[in-house]
Amino acid sequence: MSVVGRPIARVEGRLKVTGAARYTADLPQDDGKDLVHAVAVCAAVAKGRITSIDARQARAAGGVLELITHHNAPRLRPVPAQEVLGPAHETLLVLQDDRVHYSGQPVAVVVADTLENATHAASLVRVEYAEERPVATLFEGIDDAFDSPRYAPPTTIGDVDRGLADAAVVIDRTYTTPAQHHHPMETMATTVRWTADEVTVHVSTQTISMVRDGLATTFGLRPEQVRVVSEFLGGGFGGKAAWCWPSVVTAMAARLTGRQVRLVTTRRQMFAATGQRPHSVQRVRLGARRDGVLTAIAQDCVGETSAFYDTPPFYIGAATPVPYGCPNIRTTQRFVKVNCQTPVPMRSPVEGVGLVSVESAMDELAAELGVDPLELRRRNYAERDPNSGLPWSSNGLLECYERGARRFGWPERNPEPRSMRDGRYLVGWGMATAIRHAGSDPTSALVRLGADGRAVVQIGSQDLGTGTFTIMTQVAADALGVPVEMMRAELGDTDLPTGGGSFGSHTAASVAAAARLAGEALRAKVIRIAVADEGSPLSGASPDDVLVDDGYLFVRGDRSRGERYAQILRRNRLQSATGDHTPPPREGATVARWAFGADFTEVKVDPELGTVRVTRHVKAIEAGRIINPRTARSQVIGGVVMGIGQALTEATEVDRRDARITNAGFWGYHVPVNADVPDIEAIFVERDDPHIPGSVKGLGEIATIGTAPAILNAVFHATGKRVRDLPITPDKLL
Amino acid sequence: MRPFSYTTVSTVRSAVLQVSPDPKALYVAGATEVLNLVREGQIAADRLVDIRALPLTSIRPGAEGLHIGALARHVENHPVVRRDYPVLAQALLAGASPQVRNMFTPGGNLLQRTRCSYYRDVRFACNRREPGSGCGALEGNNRYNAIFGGSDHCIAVHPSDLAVALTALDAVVRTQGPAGARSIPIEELYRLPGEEPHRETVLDHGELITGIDVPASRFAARSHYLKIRDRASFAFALVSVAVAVDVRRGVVRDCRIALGGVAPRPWRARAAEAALTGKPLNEESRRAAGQAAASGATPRRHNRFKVAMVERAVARALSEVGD
Ligand SMILES: Cc1cc2nc3c(=O)[nH]c(=O)nc-3n(C[C@H](O)[C@H](O)[C@H](O)COP(=O)(O)OP(=O)(O)OC[C@H]3O[C@@H](n4cnc5c(N)ncnc54)[C@H](O)[C@@H]3O)c2cc1C
Repeated sequence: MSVVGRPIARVEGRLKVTGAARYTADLPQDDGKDLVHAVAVCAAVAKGRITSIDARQARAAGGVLELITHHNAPRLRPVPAQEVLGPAHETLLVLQDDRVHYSGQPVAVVVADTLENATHAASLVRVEYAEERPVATLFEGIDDAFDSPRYAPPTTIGDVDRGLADAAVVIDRTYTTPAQHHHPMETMATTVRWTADEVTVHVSTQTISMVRDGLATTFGLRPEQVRVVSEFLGGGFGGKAAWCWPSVVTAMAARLTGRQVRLVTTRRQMFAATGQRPHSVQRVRLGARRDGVLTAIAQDCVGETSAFYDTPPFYIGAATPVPYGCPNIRTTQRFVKVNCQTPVPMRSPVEGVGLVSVESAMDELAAELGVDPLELRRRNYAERDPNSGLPWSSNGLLECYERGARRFGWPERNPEPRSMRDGRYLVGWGMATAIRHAGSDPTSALVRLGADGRAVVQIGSQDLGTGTFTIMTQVAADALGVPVEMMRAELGDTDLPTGGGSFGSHTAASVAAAARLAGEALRAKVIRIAVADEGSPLSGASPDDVLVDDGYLFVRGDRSRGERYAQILRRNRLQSATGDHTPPPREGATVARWAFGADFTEVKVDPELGTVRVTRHVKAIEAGRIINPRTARSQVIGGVVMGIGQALTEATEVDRRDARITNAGFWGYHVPVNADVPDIEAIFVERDDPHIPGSVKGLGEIATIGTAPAILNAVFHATGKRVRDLPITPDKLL
Repeated sequence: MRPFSYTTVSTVRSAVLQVSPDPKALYVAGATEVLNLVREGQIAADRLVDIRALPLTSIRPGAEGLHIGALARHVENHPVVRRDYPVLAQALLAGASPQVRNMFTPGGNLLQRTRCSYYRDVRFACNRREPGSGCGALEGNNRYNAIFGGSDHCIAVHPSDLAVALTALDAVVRTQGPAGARSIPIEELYRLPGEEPHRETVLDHGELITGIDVPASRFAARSHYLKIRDRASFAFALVSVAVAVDVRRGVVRDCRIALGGVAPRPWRARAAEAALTGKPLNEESRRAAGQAAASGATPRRHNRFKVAMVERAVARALSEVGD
């Protein structure tokens, strides 16, 4: 019986809840005896030059083994941008020169025998700067905004100016979204041992292969000399997907000291360790006929990038042409160089940011026309992908609208703002469309079967905490035809067959495709062995006639003629097979592959005090086939919680004089807490998609896209007040 | 993190004897504040003296009022506190999280430091942390800062919820110093920053808080705490209000209104109290009290919203104690 599609519990759940799962910062390599600790000293200014570093006191402090600055750091080679995500090239040449580009940039690293000694010594390092005036935020530099035709070429479909001129109604609004920082529970942790033959790196990363290739390139090693391990991850949200300095400086420290070195960034350092979701300004113009049919969509965005930018920034409007059928669409983006860390992905860098304005503007249009917001979206349903002109590989959006609305009770909504109440609270209902491109990465898997009938599936990818171990076990068990208890998954080691990153909503699709291919290949291989094995009851059967059920192989039509995998393997040694998944090429595609969703949310607003609570949320998602409804549901809960943070609580605040973050800690950067999180319901609209292996479209990002705009729209419905500057804190509603 | 030594003490006398003469020694109770401050370098301590073994844990209600030991645990769960001093229980419950509350102590809560961003990050200028270095908040991100009681040197806000409730209850702080015991009305415990923001309280170095006395009053039982914050829980107040009223024959005879999140110390809104006293408790008087509470505010660029928020929060808190 198939286990794919069943809500089995996480296979590593027991290890995690009992504390037996060791995360990177818990993990001593070998006996851990020679482990020493590194602590980074981070720049106090956001722009300028280091004029002097007085390290005498620090060097003299107890237990200090090494102090690295740009004077004595090993020289690094630039890492080409196409090899890594995030800051590349010259931009990650940490500790190579005296330039400071952002506050929090590492300027020295202290290595000592204990964490306490290293922390203390780091506090004794005196750095002097020749400070220059930084560009603190997008707004300070907006006059110098520039285009990037290479990375963010404008999209033009039809004639937007005519579409706007022909419209009966035009909505023209500007929205701003703040910089946000990823705050996984586990901060960035790295442990490196550097010996003559091998560099072993334990690191909390969303891409072990990127860390391997990046470190090899930057230190001039061959990739085979670097082994990267990341067994358990405490989240990442994109922050651990990028190439970032903590791994680089830890490797430097290990090389210089010859010791096993660990560096764990503090929560405060997480505000500059890996990069952020960039601050943006989004102007949207929608043109529509009286009946709501869109005649034009124009979106012009400005986003921040770092002052030392030389990597592709995201084009947050890249998906804007996709959700609605409209003949005239134009999107543009400009960039402003800001003295901040280089922006990196955060759980949907494109749709999760760029559609906030589009989905809010759709709500404004609905209000203007007096059309129900859901009905407006239905009327603009895109029969094919407006961007590419291609048919959808599959599209369950209308059913998401339908089932989500029914479950939520949307038809009961009184369209009038401020019309619904619960005692002293104003009640608002809002909705939004979600879309996310569905893709996958080249990934290889190896499945091995032993004489005890137990199997293992290995992929050099990693589990962010989302359930990758679990779904991979399910898929491989089905493909091989063994009970799920007999299959074990291994991830998180570059010694395993190469896998992709845990980002871009690609992991489930990639890992499942490779695990299935490897499992099926091994099944076929063992069948071939059995039919050729005179000692087997299957001997002489045609391989095509051999079926497998629950680890038992038998001849079609005669269940008694067969034997178990274990019996075959006992005679024929350990067997293994690999599977290589190659994603369909983007060029020359004949279909557009997307996941779809619809968010419905209820808020209660205290009209006098301005406080907003989300009181229930229904999210319907079409992401092809769901491998495990349980881990999938948990993805949706996490995604909606992030959307609540984006809409209501989270923003990185920067002092506009000196470009330093003023809320760099959990006391000031407010992620939602339990009391902010309501009952969240996930509905999965399942679809077979003949163009996607296993019909797996991925859930990681669609889980959060759509949530924030639905909440913004609900707040408008509750209060009659449209807030276009995220997040909606109480002061904005007073 | 600077290395420091750690000792425990078992009597009030030895505690005071150890800390008073040593400017680099510090009491530690629940350690929820101290460890963060020492680790991040806001305060430099060479020596931490742990007072948790001192016999200061009692919660004693009586005819004269309520005594709370400096180390009392979970005051918010005490049935008499909940019944007779609801504002106190509510303020404690509105503070921090259950995990932090499992550790913290009333004495430590009163002496927690400001959460001003410019104080908490040692890379910023802050007169409170480093006298004479300047104040980053005056022209900076001052959304959380004071609209009352600040100076050109400091506009930090005192973050304690407990202290606001105690201010509405006329509480008195009991201390023991090298020169003997003192009783300090809670309002007088904190100094306004003036020109010397680094002098935060009137306590001498080493003066130990032994307990808090809340006198019996006609208004304590009819009291309420309202806290407005950026998320539903586990955040410091944008604005908070403690109200306590004595209403007889439909008229407010006496009342206390104290504000949190708006000043360098819990802020008694005397104008609001005066506006309300002698009036029936109704929508009009509540609104007038709110307006009076907000009068005289001197907001900065990013905290103007606090003025309206104070007005509404006072009116709302008063509506919670009935007509
Ligand atoms: C994440 C977080 C969120 C928080 N949120 C809130 C909130 O919303 N509202 C709120 O009110 N508070 C909040 N707090 C602050 C919390 O209430 C204080 O940290 C706590 O009350 C301090 O008590 P403690 O016993 O741990 O003090 P400690 O950390 O031990 O000491 C704090 C200070 O008081 C001194 N001290 C302690 N006891 C005495 C004594 N008896 N006599 C003299 N000096 C003494 C110490 O020397 C030190 O200077 C929060 C704290 C954290 C960490």
